[in-house]
Amino acid sequence: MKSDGSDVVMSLKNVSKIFVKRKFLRRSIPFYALENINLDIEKGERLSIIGESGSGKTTLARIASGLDKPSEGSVFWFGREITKLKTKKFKELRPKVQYIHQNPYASINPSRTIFSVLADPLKRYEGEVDSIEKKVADLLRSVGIVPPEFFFNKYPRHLSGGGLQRLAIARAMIPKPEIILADEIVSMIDMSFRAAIVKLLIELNEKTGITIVMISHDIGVARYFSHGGGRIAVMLRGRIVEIGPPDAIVDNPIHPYTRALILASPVANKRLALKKRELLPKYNIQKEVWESEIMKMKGCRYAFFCPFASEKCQEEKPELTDVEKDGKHKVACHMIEEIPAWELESVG
Amino acid sequence: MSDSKILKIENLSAIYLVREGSIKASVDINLEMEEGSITAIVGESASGKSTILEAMTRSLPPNGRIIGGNVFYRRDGNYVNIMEIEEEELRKLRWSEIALVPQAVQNALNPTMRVFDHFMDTVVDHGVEWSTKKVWDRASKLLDMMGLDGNRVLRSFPHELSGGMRQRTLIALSLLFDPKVLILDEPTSALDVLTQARLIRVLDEVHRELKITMIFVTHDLPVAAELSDYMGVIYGGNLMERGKTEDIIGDPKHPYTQALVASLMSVVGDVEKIKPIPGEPPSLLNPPNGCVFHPRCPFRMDKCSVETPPLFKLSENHYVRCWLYEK
Ligand SMILES: Nc1ncnc2c1ncn2[C@@H]1O[C@H](COP(=O)(O)OP(=O)(O)OP(=O)(O)O)[C@@H](O)[C@H]1O
Ligand SMILES: Nc1ncnc2c1ncn2[C@@H]1O[C@H](COP(=O)(O)OP(=O)(O)O)[C@@H](O)[C@H]1O
Ligand code: SF4
Ligand code: SF4
Ligand SMILES: [Mg+2]
Ligand SMILES: [Mg+2]
Repeated sequence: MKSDGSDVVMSLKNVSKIFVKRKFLRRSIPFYALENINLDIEKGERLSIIGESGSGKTTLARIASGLDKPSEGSVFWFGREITKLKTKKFKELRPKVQYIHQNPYASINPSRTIFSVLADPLKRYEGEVDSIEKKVADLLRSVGIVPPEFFFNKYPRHLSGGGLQRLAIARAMIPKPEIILADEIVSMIDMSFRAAIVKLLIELNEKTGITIVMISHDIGVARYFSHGGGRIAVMLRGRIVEIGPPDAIVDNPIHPYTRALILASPVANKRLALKKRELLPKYNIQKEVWESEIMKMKGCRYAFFCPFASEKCQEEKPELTDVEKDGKHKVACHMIEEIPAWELESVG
Repeated sequence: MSDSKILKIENLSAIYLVREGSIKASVDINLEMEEGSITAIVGESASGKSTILEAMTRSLPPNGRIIGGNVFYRRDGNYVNIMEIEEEELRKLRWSEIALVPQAVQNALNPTMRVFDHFMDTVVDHGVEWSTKKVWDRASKLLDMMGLDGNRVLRSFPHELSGGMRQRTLIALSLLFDPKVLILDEPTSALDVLTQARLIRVLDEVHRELKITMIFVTHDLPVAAELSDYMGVIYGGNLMERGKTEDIIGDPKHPYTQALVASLMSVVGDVEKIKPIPGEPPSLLNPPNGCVFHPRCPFRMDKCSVETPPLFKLSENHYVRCWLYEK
């Protein structure tokens, strides 16, 4: 239990992941895919994690799911540090945490029928039951694959990308998990499906109270998923730079990088698009990223592109700190006082 | 005859031959491009966007077939039909007048060659007799226009450039012979959002500076809206609606366009109003009878599953393929 009474299902404490891979001036230097991540995920919440490619989203989700080990720091499930659990206990908890892969074509065996993709794990978790057909049908229906019986003897290739993601979601629900981490599950599917899949996750969360972490590179998708009580965390080069509810992150962002992401997201309204284009340089210096220069950064990961960067920013890493006392909105930036009021606030 | 249209695509249809039959990837497409304008072709994946670009430039893969239609290109005041000209003439037309930057060009640069060598090779390939210095100067000027440090980029190897820089380099390369029409297939879709925003701005500036006619394909409706003057919406191989971008976004007429606009998960606007589209896109191997959108359409009428609607004209620039607009 946290002090405000909410339950924490999962937490990351000072988690870092180091890959020794980047070569710079003939030396291999350690590369932080994640750096000092602290995150409490509350029971029943809808948390979005957003960031550009390579920002560490998948690395974070895999470590949180116990699929990879952190280089530093620890991961807690239901208040217990997972590396300290006995094998038996870990095996027992394992199914309660489900990770859904970003590529549905890679995660579902193409040679098994849709029925057996679901029936086999159902048998594994619930033993032989006589009503297995009904259970599979209910699962398919719950994710919108209808009429279910029609698909029993079909193969995954008969489903579209969106259909496959629905199947992956249905399969993840079988062990009655406490938490699902869905990695970019809408980025590979058609635009006319995306909102429907996100809606499906929202409904699962609302109906069953399951905690869902949704990873996306699209802040608009995150806003829709986390509206009504959820949170959005913004990642930049292995760090969380801002976290809070959508009305803070999208409607009242503070971190210059979050603001830049919002201003760079395309919108259909042309007048607004022009206004955004005009404002973007205020929060993002558009210059070329030559990998060799990025490697030299010591302080804030945004300093290279940040119009507000001071000397301190070049040297010292900012930590996440509360914007308001309630602790709901946190920002990692040395220059919060210098950041002007948000210009896009009341638009839309 | 004086006409402001630089390109007119009339009833263009193309298929792909596969073991199971034929894929109707492009069905009776009609589009016109105003000289100096930017046209976006929007549609979801596998809806037939690339097919239109490849069919109109006659660069379909070997199993692709154009089964009908004309593409008129205005050259020195007269229209030539691209579908009918000789191979040799088509080859000349392709780089010097109509340049196509294909989809997924991230790996299109040879990793063992410096960027400058790509420009030099292109010049030699086309039998153009420019001195090395002339090629360097022209290339570096084009790269500068793309917001890059031309001289530095020309000396670099492709792997030293980021994805966004490579994409802009390829666009600069396609502009080498000063084409009148620049066609881009998904120019921004492999890019991160900040890089994408940058490219959109650069393309807008290049367009203004060169007064070039631009046609681009995207699956991202907001990207199309930000950059285009005119828009064509493709669904299941069919052109469902076309018109001025602001009209289509502000007041979409086709039920598919309406549904798409309502399903956008944007950073602005009311989240409560976001409305997912039920159902699935059609198979182009066995497309539904009648209107290809009828299985998902909330306004479906009896006629819709039987007869394919024609493109109805609503106003000078606005056309819709939907029975609701039959007069
Ligand atoms: N060489 C080919 N052989 C067979 N079918 C093909 C071929 N190229 C494309 N198709 C099919 O034709 C249809 C339209 O393809 P096209 O590439 O034009 O779509 P698109 O809208 O450009 O899609 P994307 O957004 O994925 O680029 C699809 O069903 C596709 O699978
Ligand atoms: N196994 C690995 N070995 C080396 N580097 C890796 C490995 N996995 C990820 N990385 C690097 O870590 C960074 C974060 O990767 P990732 O978590 O996949 O980002 P995202 O999911 O946000 O795109 C990237 O720079 C990536 O190249
Ligand atoms: S810490 Fe400094 S460089 Fe980083 S975002 Fe804040 S002002 Fe910019
Ligand atoms: S023709 Fe009929 S089915 Fe097709 S979009 Fe119009 S109303 Fe809907
Ligand atoms: Mg990833
Ligand atoms: Mg394509």
